[in-house]
Amino acid sequence: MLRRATSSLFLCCLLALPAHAAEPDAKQWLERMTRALAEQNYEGFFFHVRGARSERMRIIHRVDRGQVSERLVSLDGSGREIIRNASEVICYLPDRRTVLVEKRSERTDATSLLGGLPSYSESLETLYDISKIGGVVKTLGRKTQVVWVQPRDQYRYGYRLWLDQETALPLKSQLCDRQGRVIEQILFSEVNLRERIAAADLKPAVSGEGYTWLRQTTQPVVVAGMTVGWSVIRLPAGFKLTERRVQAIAGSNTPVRHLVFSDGLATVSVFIEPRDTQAEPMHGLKRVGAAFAYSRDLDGHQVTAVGEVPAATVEAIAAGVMRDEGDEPPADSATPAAPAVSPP
Amino acid sequence: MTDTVKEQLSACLDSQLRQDELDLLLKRVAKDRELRRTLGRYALTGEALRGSGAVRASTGFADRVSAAVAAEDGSPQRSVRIAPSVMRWLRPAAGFAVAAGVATVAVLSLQPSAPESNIIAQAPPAASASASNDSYIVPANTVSNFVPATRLTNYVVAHSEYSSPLGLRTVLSGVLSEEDEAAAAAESAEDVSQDAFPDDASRNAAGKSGAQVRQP
Repeated sequence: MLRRATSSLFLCCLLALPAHAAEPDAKQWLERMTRALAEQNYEGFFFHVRGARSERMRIIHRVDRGQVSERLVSLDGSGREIIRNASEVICYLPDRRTVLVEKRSERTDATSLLGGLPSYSESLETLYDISKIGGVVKTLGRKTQVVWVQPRDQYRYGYRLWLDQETALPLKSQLCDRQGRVIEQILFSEVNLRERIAAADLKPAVSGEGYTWLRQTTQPVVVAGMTVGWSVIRLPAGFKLTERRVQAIAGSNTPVRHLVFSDGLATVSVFIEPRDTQAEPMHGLKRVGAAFAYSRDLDGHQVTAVGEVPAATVEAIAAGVMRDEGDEPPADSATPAAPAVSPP
Repeated sequence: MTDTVKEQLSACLDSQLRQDELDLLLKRVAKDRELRRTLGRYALTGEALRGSGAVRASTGFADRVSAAVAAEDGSPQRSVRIAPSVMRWLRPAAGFAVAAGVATVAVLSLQPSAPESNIIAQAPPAASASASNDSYIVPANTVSNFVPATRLTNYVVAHSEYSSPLGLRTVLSGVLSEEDEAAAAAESAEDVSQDAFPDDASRNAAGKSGAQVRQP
């Protein structure tokens, strides 16, 4: 990917760029980006911007034998760090003398900051139009190609990516709605490619010794009769059930059914739990951060669809939730951690 | 390599060399591979030192040198530097208001039923009984009068394990999102359906105590 630059020192300053035999198309650009993110060691600084807020962080992205691990350091003075690898996410919160450890689901591949960006596939192309916008543009001081991954219907968001011409790294990534309005974005202020990054660079600045360590188990709670019985009909095009589990969720006395639907890029979760008579029921559409949530009451259950997708999508998915015929009654175990309860 | 050259290298990255000295040094760098490597290392060290501080001011020369070092064939690191103008427009937005906190979302999920107590020690017996000492299972009865909006944020946290439109949605959304966002979420800031929650006071109280949990 990176050609030899033989220019003299001073010519290099004038942005000597690799010569391309043929102009890569949008698909090839996406593939280049995916490859770069999966194979390149890099470290740098980025801004995460949503609405009027912006947060600056440092990132160290290491690839070792195909395994990506990452360290994110908050630059707000709190000293907070996040170390991610394939199996877990560890958050060091020195200002609270706390460390949070979360196991990763094996089915998620988003172990990196930009791991959630679209990667090319034929099925992606059936749902999204992938195109280059214009030619080379100067962005953030570098020559970049803009690639637009645009949804073909109203049920998902799109991405605009400013890919560095030389490295294909996304210097600017925007999640945007159909009208092109930006929902959130990541802007790099600096990226340094490295031949290798030492494992030691992934170590947090604090040891966490003497801190409170909190481990959140995401082991599915096995409760007989709870993993079946609900389904969603009339899903928006392209969405498929990718995971079905029962889990403990804070603030709830009973395990919650969690169904995950994905179109390969966007993800929507559906949560189903028996109505808590003491809690106020949730109805209709809400917004939480960049996500929309739609709740409804169904057959004595609270049904909520959540996702960073347009409101129409959570609404459609929540509306399609059905209780299967001949379903066993829900097992109301007393605590999330209780052993399996067999309903009669 | 002499110490003088090393000093010059260091100085040039800090933009402390005179123009004629810079030119001379540049010429030497152009000819000397070892010098280029050293320069690369210096640049990175400087970056690391400056890393956590303020946005680095543009030092035209240092940038040019970095770019040159980066473009140098076979150099151990390459640099993609972005114009400082970006920093300028981002700055007002960034400001100091980005005091990232453990979002109320995350804290609520750890908060024991009794306020101002040690998180671990106060974990509900049912949860701690089945967990090893250093583990925790999301306490069930965190806030006795928890409200739907809080549950909603807990859903979002649970969902975020699967979704990462822009990466940060994973754990960051639950842990490193800003306090005000969490507060907004707890208050269901954008209540699209115009649902009204009568118990604003209790919810706010829950959110506030959550955000202020401190370890002894």
